[in-house]
Amino acid sequence: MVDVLVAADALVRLFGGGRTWLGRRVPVVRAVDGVSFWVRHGETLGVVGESGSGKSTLARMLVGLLAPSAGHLSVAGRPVRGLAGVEAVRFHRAVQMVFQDPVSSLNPRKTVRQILEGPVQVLLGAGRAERRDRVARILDLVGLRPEFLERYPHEFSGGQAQRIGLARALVVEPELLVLDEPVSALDVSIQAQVLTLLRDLQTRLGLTYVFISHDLAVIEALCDRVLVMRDGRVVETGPCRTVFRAPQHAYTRSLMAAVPVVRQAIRVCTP
Amino acid sequence: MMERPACPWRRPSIWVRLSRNHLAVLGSTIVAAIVLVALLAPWLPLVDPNLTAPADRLQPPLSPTALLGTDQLGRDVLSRLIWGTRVSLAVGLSATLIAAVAGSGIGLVAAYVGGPVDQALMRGIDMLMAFPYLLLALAIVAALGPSLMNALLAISVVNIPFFARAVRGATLSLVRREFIDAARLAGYSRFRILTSELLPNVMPVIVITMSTTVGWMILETAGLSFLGLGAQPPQADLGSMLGDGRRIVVTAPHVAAVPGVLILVLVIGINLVGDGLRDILDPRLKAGALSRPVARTATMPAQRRPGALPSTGPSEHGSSPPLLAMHGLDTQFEIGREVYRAASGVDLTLGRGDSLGVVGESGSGKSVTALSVLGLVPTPPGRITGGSIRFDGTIDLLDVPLSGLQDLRGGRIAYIFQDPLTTLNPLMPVGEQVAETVQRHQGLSNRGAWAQAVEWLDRVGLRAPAEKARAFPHELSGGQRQRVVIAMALANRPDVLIADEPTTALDVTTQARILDLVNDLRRQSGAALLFITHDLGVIATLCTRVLVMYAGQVVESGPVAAVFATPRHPYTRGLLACVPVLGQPERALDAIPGLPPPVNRLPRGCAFADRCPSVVAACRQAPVPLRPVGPARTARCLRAEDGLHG
Repeated sequence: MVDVLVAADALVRLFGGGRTWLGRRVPVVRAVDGVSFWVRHGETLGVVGESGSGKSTLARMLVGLLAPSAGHLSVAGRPVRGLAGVEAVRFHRAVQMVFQDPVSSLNPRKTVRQILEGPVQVLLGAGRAERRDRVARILDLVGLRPEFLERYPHEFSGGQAQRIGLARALVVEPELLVLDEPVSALDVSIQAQVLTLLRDLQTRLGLTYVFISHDLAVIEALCDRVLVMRDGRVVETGPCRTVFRAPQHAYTRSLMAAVPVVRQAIRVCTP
Repeated sequence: MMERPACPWRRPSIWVRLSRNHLAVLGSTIVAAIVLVALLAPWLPLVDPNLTAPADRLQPPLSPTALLGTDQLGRDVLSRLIWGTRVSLAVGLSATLIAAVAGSGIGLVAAYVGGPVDQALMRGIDMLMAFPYLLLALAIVAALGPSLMNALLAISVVNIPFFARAVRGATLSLVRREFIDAARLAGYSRFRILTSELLPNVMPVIVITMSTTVGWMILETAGLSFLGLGAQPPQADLGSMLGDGRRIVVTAPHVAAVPGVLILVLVIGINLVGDGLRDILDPRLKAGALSRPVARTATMPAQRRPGALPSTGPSEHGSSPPLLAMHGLDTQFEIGREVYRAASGVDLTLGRGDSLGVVGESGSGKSVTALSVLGLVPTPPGRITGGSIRFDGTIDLLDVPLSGLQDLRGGRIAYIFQDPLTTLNPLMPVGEQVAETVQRHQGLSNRGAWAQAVEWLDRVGLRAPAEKARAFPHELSGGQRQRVVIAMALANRPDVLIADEPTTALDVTTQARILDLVNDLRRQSGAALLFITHDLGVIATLCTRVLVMYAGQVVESGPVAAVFATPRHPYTRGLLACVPVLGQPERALDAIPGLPPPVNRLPRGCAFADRCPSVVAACRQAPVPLRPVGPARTARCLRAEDGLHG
């Protein structure tokens, strides 16, 4: 198990609890309830589940935006807990995130250049020349034109904005990329462009992905292994191929049965 | 999913837009003139404002030595007015700045840090607001002693709450946005997130609050000086001049009237500028809250509308006309000088018991087409400029008077929209909302309508319907809410049911149940279904015929099985090829390169030409017509037949 990048052991995250000022109890919500898994270097772990299954909470814990209430999480052999100062900088150099809503994840008052150069400056402490160089390279990598650098987010379509989000995450050359529903806000033709780009980047940069989605077909197309979540717990896990071919848990089966498909028709038209 | 296509048209700058607002221009002219004169005071040929001349006291205006007369000590009123305005402006502006900086700081920190810090700061602000603020200002000055500086301080303090509350509110809506999370992941410190991420985004709110309070603060300064708590004699400011003139207002009204008029004009000017700025910067007003909603989409009258039908008359279809026949529908959005052709030349027929799916990506015009049927496209900016929509063989829906249209809405033609949470009235029990539509169209008694509502809630599969009918929308889950909306739509047994992405906001398992429900109920009631979606899978499950839309036009139509098996338009082919299919992970996703053209800059020829793998020169030269390409099938492609072999 030398090549394990992420190891999570019995992760728990609670919300609420405690009491109000008037002494009334606030009900506790167990958003993530005892989740354990590991991710190897260079592989893609898919996390699938419906709304309220805790998959976004899990993503936010993985990137250090939320602290686990209990359990143990380590990335690249280092425990993720109470990150601050140099530790936090080192962690965020290795772990980045792509968000669901491409437009809301970009500051409307900043140009693309400012959005992309910020992390390079803060996390890598790079000078002006290196910043420009890195930003130019990453822009090319995600397929955006250099003249986009001086524009503001509202001038872009959803697909272009998501490429900018991807560039921002990749510009510090992280090892692990956590993607929280990165294509669900996009139109199908644009979604396919971004998925193809993600596959391509993974081969070229040797990235490790944790890919969160409610769309089973997208997960199956991109991931090596899958984690099926329901109500904060993992109900089934295993290689995509096995899980989707022969789902063991009733919930996985009901999820799969619910997906409307153009199956027969598409089979006919694909060579 | 409903986003409009990205517009290459740039919004004019703030100054250009401000210059279109005549009142704001008037206001800025007044303010600029007053500020200019006040600034130039040291260089103007003015008498010393504090020079007393008892011999020349109370000269009337327009006297040879003093243009605006003199006061009871013989001081020149014009000179005192200009120097006094200088003082009032300086105090008003400084107080605004101090209040803005302190208040915005408190608001930003309270919203960003949250928790106990927020509580402590905002309760402090509440305490400030609990006092009538002029009284509070008086108390502060009384405690510190009367002087202009203390008045300034007092006025700043009492105005801090306005800034703190406005900025906290604006910041709260931002701190949950994902770009703040992204900034944290970029390693930004809390201070940097406050100053470089949050502050620029709440700046418009600060500017609006400043521009609307600065006039007020000048008034308050004048008020304190009037009471003798601000400017101390002999220094002039507008308030103290008013105070001096008050005692002799009967014998020499000009001494009080002149500063009074100036205060009035100045504050009106500032408020006009402030209102103008607010109209431009306030996002809520930008989103069109100022434009009055119109009960139906503006429609060109039949005489001038290309493709309009004669108002009534027998249809060419003879004995069994289709239920809904749309021909050449043109709906456009007119924003500024730009015309967005959201739907152009759309043809659509729906027979009794049909289920027609309309598929397309955002901005393809599928929703606009559906909304045009009953004139529900918002006006402004929407406008129907061409075509006809014949309902039940006789009437053109585009020419029906509004009352007739309203009788059809929710009656014979019903809609189901994407997000049940925004469709339902949050303040009304759901049963009442269903009963309301029943009553509107069937004229039942309250009790009868309620019974019908409960019955329909039962039919759409809500457990314990009588109990659920009394629930408010927020007490139901997303799936239950959408069931209520479906009950509302079906309760009047419509002939046509138009569903616009009804399951997009729902989870897959819920989606499957809702789709089954729609399908069952449609079969039972015999209603025709027009189903709008971006999801090809849903169309395959639910519809018999499909219409593919791209850039406002129908590019292909036909029976679902045939279209999906042998798509004739390259866009349909591309769309089918780029959807990941469960069970086929090895299938390469052939993404369609590029983006759809913006509908305000449509090319002359085929709109898909730039993304098409099999484009030829002829495609770009002239508009491509929609033509028959097989049994009951049409496609808008010159090379539709080539695809069969490729």
